[in-house]
This record gives sequence, structure tokens and C-alpha cells, in this order.
Amino acid sequence: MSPREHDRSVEPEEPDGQDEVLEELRFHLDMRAADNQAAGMDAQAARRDAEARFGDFPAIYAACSRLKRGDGMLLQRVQTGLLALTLVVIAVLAMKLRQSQLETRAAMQDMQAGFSSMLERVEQLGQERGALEARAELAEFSERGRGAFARREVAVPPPPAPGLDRERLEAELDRWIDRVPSPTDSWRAGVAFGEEVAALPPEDALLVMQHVWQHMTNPEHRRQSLKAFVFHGGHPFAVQVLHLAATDPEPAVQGWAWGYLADYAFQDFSTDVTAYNEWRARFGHEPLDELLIENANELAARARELSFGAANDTDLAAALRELLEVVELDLRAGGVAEVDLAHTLREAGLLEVVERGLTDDDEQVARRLLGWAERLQPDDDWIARQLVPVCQDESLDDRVREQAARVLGRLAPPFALETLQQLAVRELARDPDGPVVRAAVRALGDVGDTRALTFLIGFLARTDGDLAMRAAIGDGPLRELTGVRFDIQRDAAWWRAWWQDNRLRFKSSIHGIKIPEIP
Amino acid sequence: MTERKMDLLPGTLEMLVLKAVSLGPKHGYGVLRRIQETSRDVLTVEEGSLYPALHRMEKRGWIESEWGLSEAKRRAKYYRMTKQGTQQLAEKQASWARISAAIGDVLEAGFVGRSLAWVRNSS
Repeated sequence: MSPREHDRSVEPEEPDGQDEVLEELRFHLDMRAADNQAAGMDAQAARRDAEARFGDFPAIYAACSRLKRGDGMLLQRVQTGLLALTLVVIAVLAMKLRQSQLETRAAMQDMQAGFSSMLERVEQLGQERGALEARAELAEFSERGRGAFARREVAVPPPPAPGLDRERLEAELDRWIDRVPSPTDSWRAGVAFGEEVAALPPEDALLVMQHVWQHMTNPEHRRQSLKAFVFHGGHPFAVQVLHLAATDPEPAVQGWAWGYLADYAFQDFSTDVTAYNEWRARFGHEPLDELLIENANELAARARELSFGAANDTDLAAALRELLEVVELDLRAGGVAEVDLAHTLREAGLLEVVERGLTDDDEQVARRLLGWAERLQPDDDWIARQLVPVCQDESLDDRVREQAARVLGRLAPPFALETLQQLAVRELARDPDGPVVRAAVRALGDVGDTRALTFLIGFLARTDGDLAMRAAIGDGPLRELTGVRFDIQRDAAWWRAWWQDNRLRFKSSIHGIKIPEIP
Repeated sequence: MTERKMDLLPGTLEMLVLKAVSLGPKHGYGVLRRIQETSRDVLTVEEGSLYPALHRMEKRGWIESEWGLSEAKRRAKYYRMTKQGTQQLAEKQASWARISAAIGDVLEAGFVGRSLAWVRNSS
């Protein structure tokens, strides 16, 4: 289908220059985030995942812009070259010959490097053959599961809670059944329907969901209706509603149940349904607050046992990987039950487990534990003792330090501003193209303190020739702190002039902070 | 059970992109999804790295772009194949077939490889 065939009535405007690149990359992020949301993530997590999958946005933006700029420069060169050609034909031909020799040599080197790299991957390819066999096994398992669930009897709704107007509700149930989305409706209809049901008094909502579940014949609607019961702090009967999905005939619907239940049980049931049945027998009838607190304490105890029981660093790394494999540590489920899960887990000693892995040799372990640290909301003292040293330790993997800087910005203790500014200056001298310097300036936007503005504009002046840095600062902290839309043409001089015109708006927040000198 | 994923082999991204756009105009995200879906999510690409490749290929004249409207009524940049790109794809596919056949031969020749190693070690 031609792109314009989507809607011939609207002719899109043609963006140009660097904005075209920015718009294209942002379109990608938005599409990925929308797909993530459709798959069940909340908006914030969807965006974060999209950004993580995308990679280093400023660097990619800069690379595309350079290629784009190259087009214009090439055109100019061609024009000039045509004029010059009439005067110095022989010289140009000689130059071309030399250039051609160099290109040929470079191409030969590229090809050699490509072949070496490819041969190294041959062995890995052999190992990956196992993946295809695993896929066949999974397909067979799904078919068996489908058959077994098709024979399952429909769940009988539990007796109504004391005081519930059962008669009124029964009279209403048929009306709710009539209102389930039509099978051909979009997935959004499932979300809207779930939200409508979840807005009922909690016991009524559970009873309605138990009755309408089998009438939502489109599995996508069943999955999407769960969102209202688990997002925004959850629902008092979220676990009971998720049980409908956990025993659904469609493995794809079950998959969502396992994902959401992990936020309550801190366990992955997707490969062990027996474990789920045991867990449900223990906790299925407990009030949500007690369920969450007990499960949080069990997680912390399990994590401590695994990590402190490790005999050496290798065992510790394996224990942490095992833990991270199954626990995402999304703590928002405590919202509706008014349980501060971060506090519960801190009290149970989970931060001590996190501490043990922050400098792990496996950067993925360290980075995921930094994510845990952020969600556990440690106090300023812990941040100063544990997180700041990770930002500053040049012997650690830059990807870990990059993540640590972003977490520091988001946790925003009182010393974050000064620490991040010093980090940015030091890293600029150490590795101006590395990820840590960009992470430090972007984290200044996360701190949300407008006192960083003068520093950022000075920093922009220092690095103005670096397009990736201009994008990192302009599309990151400067946009976040000032509300001014990013434009790649806006250099340090433009920002200085803007600051002169607008500084009074920020007057109340500008006061004594020590700004490190830029070398 | 989680499907194991693989990074792309060096030098294969351009071939996969050309193949994806040869089936009709696609925006960058569409190209990525096409690669992931047809490989059943086995092949993974760091998503952002696709764009410098697209721009480079456009500069080389293998693909051309046009702004259009996406399914979500958003303005999006669509890429389509050029004649030069079609030729490139054919060349890359032929080259890939030769390389994978050669790798296959090497992998299948286990007995000979072991024998030679044994001869080398025992001499």
C-alpha cells in the first residue's frame, strides 16, 4: 500500500532539515511505546522500554543528522567541483584516482573484518539451533494446554459479601453481559469495558467480571479488561480477577495473568502452574494488604538467603541473576491497599541485597539492581554511600555508571545537582564521547531544579561542536526545565540570549549553588 | 519458556532492510517489525541503529523516501525500493547464499576437521 493511500484527504506537510530526522526517530519511539501499551504496559513503563530498545538517542540522532547534512554538503561540493573541473581537470582526475585507491583499500579491510566476525558467530549459530527445538516444544505444550482448558468447567461465582445487594446485582448482570465488547471491536474496547466494571463497588466488580468473562469471546478483550484492575495502584480484588485470566483457555491470556500476578507474588508462575495453585491456596483469600506484605517479606527473605548464602563472588552473581530473572519489582500494586511496598522491602533488608550486586562484573545484573534501588526509594544517606560511588567509579562499566547517574537524577536527593554537575565536567575531560557525560547532563533534567540552567548553557557552549551533545542537552534537560521545544539549530549563543530575556522568570529559584568551573 | 534471541550477523542488516522494503513502502518501525515478525522474533536489532542504516542506504540510492501518513494518522517517513536497491538485494542474496553454503560445508565437514587436527597434534 502506498503511504498516501492511508488517507488521501490529508496531505502531510514535508518537514525538512534536522527536524525531519527528529520527527522520524520520535515516530519510532511513539509507535513502540503504543505497541508496548497495547501489550499491557502502563504509559511510563512503555516509554521507558521503548527508549531502552532504541538505544542511545542523541548518538543516533547525531549520526542521522550527519548523514543528512552530508547530502547538502555533497550538493555544494558538486556545484563547486563542476566549476573547478573546467579549470583543473587533470588535478581533479588525479585526486579521484587517489581517492578511489583509498576507498578500495578501506572496502577490502571492511570485508576482511566482516568475514572474521562472521566466522566467530558460526559456533554461536550452532548453539542457537536449540532455540528452534524449544519453539516446537512450546507449540506442542500450548496445544495440549488449550485442549485441557477447553474441558474446564466455568467458575462458579463466590457467595456475595455480607451486605451486598445481590438481587440488584443479579438483575444487572444480564445488562453487563449485553455490554461486553463485540468480538470485532478494537482492543481499546476491552480496556474501556474493564474500566467501567472496575468503577463499580469492589465486590460488585468482581462478581460482574466472573459473569462476563466467558462472554468476552475475543481473547484480546479479556486481556485488556485486566488493565483496569492492576494499573493505577490496582484493585482490592485484583488477584481474584487475575485468577480468571490464569485459568483462561487461551495461553496468551494466561501469559498476561502471570505477568501481572508477579507484581503481587514476586514470583514467575509462567513455567510452574503448580506453584501458582499452591500460592493461591495460601493467599487467595487473604485481604490484599496482608497478601502484599507477606509476599514482600518472603521475597526479601528469599533474596537475602540467596545472596548471603553465596560462598563466593561467582555464586553471588548466579544467585542475583536467578533472582532478577523472575522478579521485576514493580511496587505499584500496593497503591489501593495503602501498603508502602518500598518501605516494607527496605525494612526487610532488600537494599542490602541490592548493595551486594551494584558492582557486579555482569553489567546487566548491576543495571537491573540499580532499577531495584530506584524503586525501593532509599534515603539520602544510602544514596550518598552506595549510588554516588557507582556514578564516580571509573573502573566500572560505563553502562552501569550511565544508569547510576540517571537513577541519581530521578531519586533527586539534595546533593544530586552538584554531584551530577561535577560528574559531567569530570567525564567531559575523561571521555567526551562516552555515555556517562550525556547521562549526567540528562539526569540534571530529571532532578527538575532550574538552578541547573546556567550550568547547562555553559556546558553547551563548551561542547557546541558536538551535535550529539547538543541533542542530549537541548532535547533533554533544557527542554524539560524550560519548556522550550528542541531545535538542533539552537546553539549556546541562542540559549544565552534566551536566558537573558527569560531569567527573571526563574529569579526566585536562582540562589547560591556552587557551580564547578568548566575546564 | 523464552525464545533465545540473536543479534544480527555483521553486514546483514542492509540485506534484511532491502528485503523488507522490497515488499512495499514501509516506515522505519514497519521495517523493524517486518524483520522481527518474519524471523519470529529470533533476530534482534538495536532499534535505533536501523536509522543510520536507512539514511546511508538512501544516500547510496538503494532506497528512496517519501513522507506519508501512517495507520495511526501520524506523519511518517516511508521508504521504498529503487532499481539500484533491487540490484543490490539480488547481489547480496546471492552472496549470502554462497557464504551460508560455505559455512554449512565447514560445519558438515566435522570428521575431516577432527582428522586434520589429530594429524597436526600427533606430528
